[in-house]
Amino acid sequence: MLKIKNLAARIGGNQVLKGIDLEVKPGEIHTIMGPNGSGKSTLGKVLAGHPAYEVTAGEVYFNGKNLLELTADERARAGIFLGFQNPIEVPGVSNSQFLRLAYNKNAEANGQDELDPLEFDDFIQGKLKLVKMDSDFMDRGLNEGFSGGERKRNEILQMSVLEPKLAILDELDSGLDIDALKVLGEAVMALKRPDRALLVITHFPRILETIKPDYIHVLYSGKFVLHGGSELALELEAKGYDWIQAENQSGRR
Amino acid sequence: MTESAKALFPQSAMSIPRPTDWTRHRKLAEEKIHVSPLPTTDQEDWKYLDLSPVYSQAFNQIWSDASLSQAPVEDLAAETAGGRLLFTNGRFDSDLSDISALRGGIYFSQLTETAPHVIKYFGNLATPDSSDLFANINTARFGDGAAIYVSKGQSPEIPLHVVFNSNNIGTDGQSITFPRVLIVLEPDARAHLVEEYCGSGKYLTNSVVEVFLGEGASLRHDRIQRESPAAFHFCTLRANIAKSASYTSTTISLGAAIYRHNPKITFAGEHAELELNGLTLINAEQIADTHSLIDHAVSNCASRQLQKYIIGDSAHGIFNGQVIVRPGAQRTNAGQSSRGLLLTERARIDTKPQLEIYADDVKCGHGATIGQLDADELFYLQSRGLDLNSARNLLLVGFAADVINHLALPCLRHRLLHHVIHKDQSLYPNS
Ligand SMILES: Nc1ncnc2c1ncn2[C@@H]1O[C@H](COP(=O)(O)OP(=O)(O)O)[C@@H](O)[C@H]1O
Ligand SMILES: [Mg+2]
Repeated sequence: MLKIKNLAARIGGNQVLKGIDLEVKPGEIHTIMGPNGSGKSTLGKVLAGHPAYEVTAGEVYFNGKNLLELTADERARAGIFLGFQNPIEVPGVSNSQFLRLAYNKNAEANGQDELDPLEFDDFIQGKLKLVKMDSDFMDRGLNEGFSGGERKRNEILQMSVLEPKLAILDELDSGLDIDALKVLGEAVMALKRPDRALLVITHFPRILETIKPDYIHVLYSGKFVLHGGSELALELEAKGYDWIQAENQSGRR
Repeated sequence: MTESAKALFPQSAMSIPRPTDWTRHRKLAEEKIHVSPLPTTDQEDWKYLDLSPVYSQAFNQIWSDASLSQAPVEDLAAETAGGRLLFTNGRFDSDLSDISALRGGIYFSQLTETAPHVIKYFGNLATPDSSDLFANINTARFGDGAAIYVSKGQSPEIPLHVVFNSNNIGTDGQSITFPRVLIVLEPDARAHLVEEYCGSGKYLTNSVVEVFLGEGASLRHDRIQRESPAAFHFCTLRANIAKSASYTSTTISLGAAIYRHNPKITFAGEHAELELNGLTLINAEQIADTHSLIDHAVSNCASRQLQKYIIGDSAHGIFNGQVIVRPGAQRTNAGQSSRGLLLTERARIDTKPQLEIYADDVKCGHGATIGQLDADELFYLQSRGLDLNSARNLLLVGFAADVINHLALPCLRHRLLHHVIHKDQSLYPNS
């Protein structure tokens, strides 16, 4: 589904990604872990097509398409979803207005029927339940005045509406209390499908208790330095990232 | 100079059956025109607005039956059916007007046919002595307009809609119209007025609106300016707010090549409230200038002004917001905010807040921001599958929403928002 070869990218004069290789197949859950500043969010944004990030080398293929040739919205309509680490607020644009427009743009691209406001209102109810979000939030501005946790709920709500093929979830756990973390973790698992892959970016291993990964990749200074299965999470939980840092600085660089 | 003001706006060759009640005003105004120079960019108040494209035209006031009811006006609010007066090229158009839904206690009629107790208010705010050239030209030359009078404690159930439609199709030159609105609310009366300008072809609209709010009265006033892209539009608004009255004025301006809006609102009694909102959406080479004045002449009044501009292509927005707090107008609360969104490198805005405060116990503040669409916001929306154009439009809606939401008619709000979201060509009237 997703094939990344030797991907390098920079932002604001910083060479942040320095050669990433990764292959993700349908139905798989991959986790990217790593210390702060290692480039995790950058990888997410580069895959989602943020125009401010410059790809300096490498290739990315998504279901056979050269992803790097597509704009952010084309990637989204092709089935890539990025759940933001820090979703921004867009005052004045109502959540329902935005979500319905997003739904309809994707429906149009995939040859499905668009929904009018009433139909969409029906459609969204079940999704709101999934993330335990009050329907009042639909009438508010997009993330306007939302707490960190409410924004994260809204991200997963968007994911459930857009039904992506590949969901990249960047630090879903940041800003969430334990209960909310469980709700959203379970919501994501409920959205798991054989034809849907997840790329879960996280600094802390806790969320992996609910969203159990098939593979864990450890990013350090723009490169993967360690690959493993879900057992790697326990090791990182116990040891932290310092030893990776130490190992990479001392020897193999 | 004085010769050219006369020459530029000559008396119509046609005989216009003007009412005799305001002969005195007309005569005074005519005299003023003769001695007023045409505004030029040398004058502080006209610094950014070059009127030479107007001055190079010859205008002709059309006043013929033939021009009436030629084409139905599109997109009129359904909510105001039965409460609508429509004027075509300045002239009352009975075929397109309908006030059958109105009950007693409310006068809603042609100015030329209204009652003496309404007429006595005429010209009291836009007096020839205190007004600028354009208001005086209107006073001297107008033929008809709308008069609204709501008796004490009354409140029409439906919004009152006044439409000024200009259609100068088929003639080579520029036509000119002088719309006029007079609205008087007696104490504790309430009303909702929708004032709308539209048209096609080349013409100049020069309107004057006078608003009298009695004690405890409340008026919502929505103004929609969607003139043809080739039009020139000048508007003088004068409002007087008595004790404990409340006035909410929301102006949406989309059309016209050159637009000048000059509202002047005076607090005449304490504990009155004003909300003055404006949204200007322009592109191509449009120029839109709002010169407003809020006069806190007495104490304990509150005014809030929100002025927004969305400017595309090489369009040019101008905002001059004067707020005066007179000596002794204590406990005044005045807030002004202007925000401009420039969509291109060539788009331009000149903003000048002008707070003149002569009392000491007051709360006054203003803020002005000018910016572009935010790249991270655009990316966020695009990452959900919205193409760039839709993402831009949604952000524009977000920017414009707090002004649009002040419009009292749901269908007007929807129409404006709908334009932005669903027509990827966005709001711009001339694209
Ligand atoms: N807009 C930017 N301009 C310059 N440097 C940036 C920008 N965004 C991120 N970076 C840098 O890129 C590096 C990786 O950031 P990020 O991908 O956010 O890391 P992580 O998500 O792993 O914490 C950091 O050193 C950060 O300072
Ligand atoms: Mg990050």
